[in-house]
Amino acid sequence: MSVVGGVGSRVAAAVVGEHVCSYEPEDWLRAQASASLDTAESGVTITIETRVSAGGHMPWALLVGRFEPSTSGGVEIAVGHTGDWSVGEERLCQGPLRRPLVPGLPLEFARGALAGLTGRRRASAPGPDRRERRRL
Amino acid sequence: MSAAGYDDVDSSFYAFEQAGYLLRRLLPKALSENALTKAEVQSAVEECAARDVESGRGADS
Repeated sequence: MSVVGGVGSRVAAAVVGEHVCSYEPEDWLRAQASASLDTAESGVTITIETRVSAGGHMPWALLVGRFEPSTSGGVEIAVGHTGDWSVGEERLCQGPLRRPLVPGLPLEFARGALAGLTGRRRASAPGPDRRERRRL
Repeated sequence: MSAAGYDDVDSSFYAFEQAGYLLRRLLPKALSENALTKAEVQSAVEECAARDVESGRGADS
């Protein structure tokens, strides 16, 4: 069952245990993160879907994270990406907010996910943003 | 992570950064309780919004 929270123009839904929108990664982005998760003894899957409505745009993002405990200490984050982003991909899956989405994670979005997962926020996004891309 | 979804017109780096942040923020609760409450998700979203305000980003990013 999904749990929904929101403030202002932001909405987020979270589900524990479900796994949707799987894809075959082209490559992986990896990072280490500090976390106090050493009491965890079993794995867990969390699905997060967000929507932000602002300025005529409504960016969506769906991430499914799987945590697996290990004895190595620290947390290794691995985010699989699907290469270049392109318009017109088929929307074949849905998350808890029920928006039809394209399964996959283009490299630009994978970098965003990794920044959020590690807490290493960038001052600006790498490369052109979505609005700039539309002008290309 | 090899499950995710995006809108081919309306998705962005920042939207996924926010989703990654929420995932990281909610993971300890999900691990300890194998469930999340509305209050926990609401708190995480509010923290995420406050974080954007602090950085001067606002919602329109």
